[in-house]
Amino acid sequence: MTRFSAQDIARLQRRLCYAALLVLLHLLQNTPGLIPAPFGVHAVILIPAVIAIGMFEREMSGMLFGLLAGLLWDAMDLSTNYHAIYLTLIGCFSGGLARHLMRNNIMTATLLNGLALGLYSLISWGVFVDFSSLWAGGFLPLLRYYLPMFLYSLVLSPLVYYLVRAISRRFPDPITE
Amino acid sequence: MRRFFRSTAFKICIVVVLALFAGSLLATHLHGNTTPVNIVVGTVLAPLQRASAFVADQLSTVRFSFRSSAHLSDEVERLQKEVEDLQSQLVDYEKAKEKITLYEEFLELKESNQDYQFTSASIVGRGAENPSGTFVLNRGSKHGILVNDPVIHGKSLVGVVTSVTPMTATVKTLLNPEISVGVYETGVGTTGYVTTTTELAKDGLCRMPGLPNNTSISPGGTVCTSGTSGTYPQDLIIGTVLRVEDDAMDISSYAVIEPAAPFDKLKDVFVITGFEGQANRAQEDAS
Repeated sequence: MTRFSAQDIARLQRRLCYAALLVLLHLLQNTPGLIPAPFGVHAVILIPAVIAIGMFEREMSGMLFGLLAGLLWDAMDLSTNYHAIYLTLIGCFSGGLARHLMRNNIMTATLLNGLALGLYSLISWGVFVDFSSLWAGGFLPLLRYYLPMFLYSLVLSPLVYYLVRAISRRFPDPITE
Repeated sequence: MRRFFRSTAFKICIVVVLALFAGSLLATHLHGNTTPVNIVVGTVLAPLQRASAFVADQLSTVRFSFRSSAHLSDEVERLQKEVEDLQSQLVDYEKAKEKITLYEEFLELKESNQDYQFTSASIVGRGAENPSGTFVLNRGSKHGILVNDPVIHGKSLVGVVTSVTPMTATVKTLLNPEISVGVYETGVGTTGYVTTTTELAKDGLCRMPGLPNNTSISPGGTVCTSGTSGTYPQDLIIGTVLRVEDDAMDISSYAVIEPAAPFDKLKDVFVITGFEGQANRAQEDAS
């Protein structure tokens, strides 16, 4: 019979906490009124969460947690796997970048968040905007909604990073140390 | 980074992404844009979503709620408009209620006096010196109104028409010292007449003078028209006796009467253009 080591148990506890955190952040993000929405601008906090988890847990776990966060988001949003695909990719890439190219700290996390949130905002703007009216259907939503959403989410992203880091330090894994 | 693109994790990621993409294409064609995974995840998360919606509702009742000020100010504006609409409806409702009460009394009067003929009218002007003593109505001889026609409000006497034009009529009321009406007190049957003075008219009162100083009339008694003059039908309500006082000019007494008609609030009245026993009605061509 296979016996689980203390490290395995710590890893399992850590990942269960990540999953619970993702569910909580999903509810906070997608339930109106739980997070302040100044001037009607909403924050996207699942993306920083997936990037942070990917940076601490590396590619495979980042990909799987990205998939989980994406499925949660799609279930609420009823969009057909759009967020699942996006978060799976960025979870995997953030883990790969943290392993091969960059250190895991708040600065690199903020940089990756900026890139991921910016790309998400641009894709959403491009897909859902009405370009038949260049100003009212095009640039106005970008300036009025998507750009503020990007900035607001970027401001909140360090908080999410520190939450993930707290969980990682609470249940340390020898691979990441 | 080359090692990353060659790693097993990246290859698995690509497979997963392709599977998700294929699933979304399939869902678009078969399941109406919702994948089975979405349905399962949505079902599993439904209790949590309900709980978080409940928490959000509770937070919205807290003064420092997290809803944006723009949303709150829109809601305030909407509610203010709703309040204005409801107040306007309330005013219309109160007006309708008053009219219904008036018409109910009128109907009762008409049913008990089949010989009465009526014309409805509204007050469009009041006398400057004595607003309760003189009215102008929006009906005239063209509507069958002539001089000396009595004017009532429900079952109460208001006054009498004193001049007419084709479209208007002037009414002098019980609170006008020029008017006197033959009456009787319903309790003891004492007859007399009701008029008023300038001082009493200011308080909205009239008087029944010429009573013997041992009169049986007491406060609370009801005074009605006697119908003896032929100008007013019998049993129209004048008002209620407030008190009986001694006349300063002679040894008689007089009763102070509070009129039943609400002279300050009158808007709609009825003019009796015909009744059995009517006399003194001016002929149309003579007016």
